[in-house]
Amino acid sequence: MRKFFLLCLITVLPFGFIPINASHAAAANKVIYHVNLGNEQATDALRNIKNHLAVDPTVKIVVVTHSNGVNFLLEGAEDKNGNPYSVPVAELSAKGVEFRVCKITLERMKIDPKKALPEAKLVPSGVVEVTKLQQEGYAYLKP
Amino acid sequence: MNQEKKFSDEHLNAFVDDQLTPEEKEQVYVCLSQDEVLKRHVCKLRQVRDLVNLAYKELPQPSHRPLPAVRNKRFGRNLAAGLVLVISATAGWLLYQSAANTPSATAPEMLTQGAAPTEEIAKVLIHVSDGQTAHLKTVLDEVESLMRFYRDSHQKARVEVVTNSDGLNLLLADKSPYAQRIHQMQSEYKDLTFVACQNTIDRFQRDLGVTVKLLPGVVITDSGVAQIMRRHHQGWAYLQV
Repeated sequence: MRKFFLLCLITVLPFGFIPINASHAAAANKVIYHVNLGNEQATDALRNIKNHLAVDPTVKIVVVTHSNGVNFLLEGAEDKNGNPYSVPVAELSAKGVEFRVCKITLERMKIDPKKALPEAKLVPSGVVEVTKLQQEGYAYLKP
Repeated sequence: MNQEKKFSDEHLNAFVDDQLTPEEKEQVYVCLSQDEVLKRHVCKLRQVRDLVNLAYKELPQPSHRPLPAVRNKRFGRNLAAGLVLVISATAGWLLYQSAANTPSATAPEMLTQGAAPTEEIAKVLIHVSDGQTAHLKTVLDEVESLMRFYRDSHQKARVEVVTNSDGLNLLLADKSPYAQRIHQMQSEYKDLTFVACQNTIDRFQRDLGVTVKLLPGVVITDSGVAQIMRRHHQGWAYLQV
């Protein structure tokens, strides 16, 4: 009986040292920032993201934009103080933040996709992208 | 004297145990009939045999524990087998995890994962809590765009527009700025549902003295936020537009 329990203990012990939980934690630590209202919301989002990364550098962040939320990701876009959005977008992109732009919106607003900042990636539909990322385990945040 | 030594004790015990061939047995019988000493000796041997049989007739039952020596051998082998199982299962699990977490290659310009329809039904809950007219228009624009996208990409989908708080204005029969549009969307998209929160209805009646009458085809839920949680647990996606 004692030997049986010893065998069980030896079998179970390795699981304590293997970082299986780490991979689960990483899978859960990702979030969508949904931006669709305009530049004010975009400015809030960029600030939120900067703070988020300061507290948790490992979080995976994807910014999904559609409708008026795409404006800050276009060439030459500036906030209300005249500061170009390209600077914080480049900084955050260097830290692993992704920016995605809705193709339907660009077509509807007749914006040339080439006018989007280089960090921005096109997706077929911003709303569908939000739902798909949630199916992949992303949390949802609306700044 | 010679005859006493003719047969060894071993041979005589075999005779007593009936383990000799018939020829050998006959030999012994012949000698026995002629030799008293031999006869007495054989008799003694039979006695010993009988005493042994009597002593071992009712043995105490042995305990059912396996022999320690055999157990030790098996234990080492079992331990080794167990460790091999654990190590290979763990290695397999870790490989699976790393494969699952590898990001798929994305084209530099266009992420295409949204394009291909899946077998599963897409389930989306859109939460409306802001009642300003401009916002309500945005909601309907986005919902229509979404339903059209799913239809064009042949993706089965269920979309639920859950209204609570001031978002209820969207669905009030007398106050909604978009009654006609909603009616048209309901007939065009069978998998689109507009939902009103009962708690909000009660609050409108209690605090604002409004008698709530909803647009036709609107479904009522007990609590908008509870419905959001229910759908979340059922794997629905959530967003506000």
